[in-house]
Amino acid sequence: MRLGLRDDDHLRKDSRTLKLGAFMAPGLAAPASCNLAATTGADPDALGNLELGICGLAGPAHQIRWEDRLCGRPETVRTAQVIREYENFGYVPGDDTTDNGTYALDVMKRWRKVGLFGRAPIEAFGQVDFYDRRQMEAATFLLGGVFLCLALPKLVKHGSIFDTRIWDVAENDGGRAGNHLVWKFGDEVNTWGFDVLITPEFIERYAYDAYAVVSADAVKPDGRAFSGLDLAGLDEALRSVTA
Amino acid sequence: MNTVNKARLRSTIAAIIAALVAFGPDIAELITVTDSSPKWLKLVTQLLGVAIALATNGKAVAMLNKFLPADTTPEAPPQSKGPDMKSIASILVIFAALSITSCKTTPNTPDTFYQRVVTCTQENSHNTQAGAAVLNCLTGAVAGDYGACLSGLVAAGYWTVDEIACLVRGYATNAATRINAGTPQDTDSVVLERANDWIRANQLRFRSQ
Repeated sequence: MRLGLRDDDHLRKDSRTLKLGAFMAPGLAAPASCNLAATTGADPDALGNLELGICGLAGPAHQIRWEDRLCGRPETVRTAQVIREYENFGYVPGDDTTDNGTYALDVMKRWRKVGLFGRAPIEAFGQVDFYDRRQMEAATFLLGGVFLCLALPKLVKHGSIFDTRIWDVAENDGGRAGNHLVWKFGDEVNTWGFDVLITPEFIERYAYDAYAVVSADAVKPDGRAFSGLDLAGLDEALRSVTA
Repeated sequence: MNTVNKARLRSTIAAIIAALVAFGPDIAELITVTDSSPKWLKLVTQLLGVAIALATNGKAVAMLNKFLPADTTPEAPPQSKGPDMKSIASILVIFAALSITSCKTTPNTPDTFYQRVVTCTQENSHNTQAGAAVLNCLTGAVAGDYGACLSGLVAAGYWTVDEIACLVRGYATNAATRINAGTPQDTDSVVLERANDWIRANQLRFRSQ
């Protein structure tokens, strides 16, 4: 299993990045826990992240695949498209020296400007305050999940970070394994083709960044998201803030 | 049965019902039944759960009034002051509950739901009977603390922790969706608030199968 965010990803900052908490309306409703994949089922495809440091792209791909299943679209993003997109970040197929991972912020910016995997761009992205559990709950439910940037430890409470299905803080975490991006779709995250329960304590200990995106791809005929959110109204607010 | 004895019997039963309403949910929380519990404990717990439910939803009083209505003809004054039936009934209910809890063989757990990791599946998330009971708890249709009400559903042996927790989360999700869409039902706000408070207070973690 591979990770895939660059070692200095936590230093990649842009002060212009939208802070989600600044424009989330107080009246929006969210459950304390949700499972976005309740009706679509688990996504068992690792999308190349077992062999390549491609998590920065596999995460967004998992969300797009979820949107496609939600909307009943037959075609979706596959491993080949994820690897092809990796080439836009410097990877040369067959040359391991170019398998250096990505910066999460660069992925978000490209997703916003031109789109990923040949799909339409997102409307906007914003940073989520991962210490604010209510904001995390709201972002997960309202915006189709949260992308967590984690400085993973080698060990969690129940063993190796690569073997266990619950990520909870261990007294002795064995030091750093590396930086990793995962898509959080409820109390669980999707990584390497399986679902892992991640505790808020683990997030608050090991996360260094988190993003949510506004995607117009998963909407009902009335233009609302499946969470009921009026994306058109939100989009207008975001356009006034983002470049 | 003569009028005086009928009145005394009615008074005793009414006192027991009152005691069940007052102490029932707390008693339900004390009892933990698992698959390895003895059969008599499971049966007694189920009967107690039914009695608590009937008492708290008012049906027990209705049945009492139907089969043992209050007699409106004045009684002859009693020859001597009898025992306080309400206090005795309360003591009997508490004593019975304490006897049960002290005899149970399963280990004590602090709370039915606290810090549980719950697994939600298609099968355990759509039980309509359980759903109606959960909704009654969340909307306050059943008198008393809604958290104790939810615990009582598991203590009574009808449904599992996972079933109840998954249904609570489901109701919260549906309520939030309707609120955001501008089409809330009358009870959505209170259901969402109570469900969220309950999930957070119990530090529940949900996983899919």
